[in-house]
Amino acid sequence: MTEVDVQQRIARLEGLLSRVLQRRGQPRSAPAPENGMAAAAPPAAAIDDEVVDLADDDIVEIRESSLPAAAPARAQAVVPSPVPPPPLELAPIVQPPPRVQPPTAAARVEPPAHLEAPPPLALEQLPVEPESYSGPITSSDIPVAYEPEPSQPPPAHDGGMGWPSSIPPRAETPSETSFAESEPPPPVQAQRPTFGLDFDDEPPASSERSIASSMDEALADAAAREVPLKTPPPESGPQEAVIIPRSSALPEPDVDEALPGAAEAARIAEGVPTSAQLGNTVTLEEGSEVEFEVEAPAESGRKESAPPPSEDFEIRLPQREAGGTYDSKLAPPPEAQSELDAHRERAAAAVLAPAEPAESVDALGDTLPDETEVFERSAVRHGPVTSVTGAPQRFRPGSFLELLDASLKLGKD
Amino acid sequence: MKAPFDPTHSLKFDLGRGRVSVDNASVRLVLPVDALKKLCETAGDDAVHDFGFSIGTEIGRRVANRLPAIQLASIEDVVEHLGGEMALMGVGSLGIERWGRALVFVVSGDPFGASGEVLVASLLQGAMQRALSREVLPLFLSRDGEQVRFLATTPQAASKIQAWLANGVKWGEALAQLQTGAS
Repeated sequence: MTEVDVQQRIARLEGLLSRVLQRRGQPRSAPAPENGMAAAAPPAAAIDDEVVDLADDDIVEIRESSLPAAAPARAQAVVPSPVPPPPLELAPIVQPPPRVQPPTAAARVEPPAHLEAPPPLALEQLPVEPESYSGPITSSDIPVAYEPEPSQPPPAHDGGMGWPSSIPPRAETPSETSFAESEPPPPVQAQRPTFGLDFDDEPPASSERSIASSMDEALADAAAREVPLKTPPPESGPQEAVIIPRSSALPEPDVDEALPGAAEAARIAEGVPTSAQLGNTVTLEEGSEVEFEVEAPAESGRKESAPPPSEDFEIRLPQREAGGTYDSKLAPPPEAQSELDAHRERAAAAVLAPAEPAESVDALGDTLPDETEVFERSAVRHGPVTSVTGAPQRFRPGSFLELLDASLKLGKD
Repeated sequence: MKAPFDPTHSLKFDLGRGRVSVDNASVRLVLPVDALKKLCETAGDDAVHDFGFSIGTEIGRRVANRLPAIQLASIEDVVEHLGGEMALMGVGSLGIERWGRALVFVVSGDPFGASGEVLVASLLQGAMQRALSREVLPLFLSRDGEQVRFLATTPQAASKIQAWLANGVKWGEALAQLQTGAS
C-alpha cells in the first residue's frame, strides 16, 4: 500500500465522516411498526451516498477531537477480523450492541420465529449510518478471542461496540427496546479493545514505536529510551523526569542557602576559623605564675584500695578492713565530755558498792542527766514468801452435851 | 456405842382394872387432843409451861434411865431415846439440827398445832433439865407446816434473837449473826 492510497482513503473517510456529521440532526426513520420492531433498513431512496468499500487493510485511526462524545458509540467500522464477515443478512431488529451479561443471566435467546427477515441487502444498499446497519452480532458470528498482532496497535477500549464475549447478549423484549425509540445505548466499558474507530482516545505511546525485530534491538531501544526516574511512587510506575532547559535554569544558590556546613567546611579547609569560632573566642590574659604543690596523703589507718584510681574519676570507697577502726588518741568532742565523766563515775560507784540498795529515782534525779533515768528494783529481802491460811476447823461435837453447851454459849457477851 | 430405843412392853393396858401404864410404873391417860388444847388455851402460858415442863421432866428421867452415861451420849443416842419417849407419849417426832454451834430441835407431827408451841417448848426444857441438868430455853424459830423449830439457847441470847426476828431478819440469818458475834 502506497502512501498515495492511504491519503486517498483518508480523504474518503473524512468525507464519510462529514456526511455522518451532517445527518446527525436529521430525524430518524419512520415510526416503529405495530409490533414495536424498529425499521431495520431505511428506505432505499435514502441511501444516496456512495458506498465505501473498505477492505481489511483499511484500518486507520481517525482522530477527530471535535467529534462529540456520543459519536464514537455510533461510529461503525469494519470489523477487522480474519474471519470473513458474516453474510450481509440484516436482522429484522436492530439491536443495541450486545451487553455483557453476568454469567448467571447467560441465556441465549433466539430471535422470534415469526419475524421474517427482510431480503438481504447488498452492502452498497446499506445506509451510511453505521449503527443502523450494524447487524446483530451474536457470539457465533464473532471470533472467540481477538489477539492483536504485536505490530498492530491495541484497539481502542472505548468503542461503540464492546468486545463480544462468549456470553450471549441478554434477550430483550421488543417492547422495551426499539431502534426508533431507543436512545443510544450507554457506552459499554469493554474490557477488551474494540474494532471500532476511536476518535477520542489517544493511541498509547507504545503503538507509535517500532517493534524491535530482535532482542538486541529491543534492549538498545530501551536503553535509548531510558530516562532518569524521579522518585517513582510505588504504584504509579516510572515517571519521566522533567528536564529543565538550560536557559531557564535557576540561578546558582547563594552560599548561605547551600547545604549547612558547606561554607564552614570550606573555611576549615582553608585554615581560616569559622564564624562560630570567631564569635565565641575570648582572649584571656596570661596570669602570674603560681606554683601548686600536690602533697601525698599521709599514711594513716585508712588504707585505700589496692588499685590506683583510674582516670575515669571513679571514687574508690574504703575497703571493709578499714571499717570500725578509729584512732585511740582522738579526743572526744567537748559536748560529750560531761556525759563521759558521769558515765565513768557511775561505773566506779557500781563497782565499789554493788550490794547497796538502789536509790530512788528522786535521789538520782540530781546526778543523772535528764535524758537518762535508771529504774532499779530493790533487793529482795529473805523471809517466808508464802503463807497458807487453812480452812476454819469445823465444829465436831463429840456428844450431845457438848453441842448443847456450845449452843448455850452463843449470844453470851 | 449406840443404844437403840426399845419400847417393847413399855405401855400396858389393864383393861380389868381400867388402867394404862408405862413400864409398869406411872399411870397414863388417854385423852382427846382437842379437850386438852382447850384446857391449855384457857389455863394460860404459865400453867401450860408448867404442864409441859412436868411432862418433859418425866421424859428426861426415862431417857436418863435408858442412857446411863447420858453425859457422854452422842447426839444420835439422845435423839433416839428422847425422841422415842416423846413418840411414846404421842407428842410428835423429835429431830435435831446443828447450825454451826447452835442446836435446833425439830418437832414434827405434834397434835397441838400453833397453840401447842409453849407446851412443846416447856416439854423440851424439862427433859433437858432432868436428863442433862442444863438450863435450856427452847426459843421458837419457825413453823413450816407440821415442823416446829426450837433453838436451844439461853435467856440472854433469846432476847437478841427475838429482837432480830422482830426486825424482819430471817431465822437463818439470825443464827449466823449469833454465831458471828459469839466467835
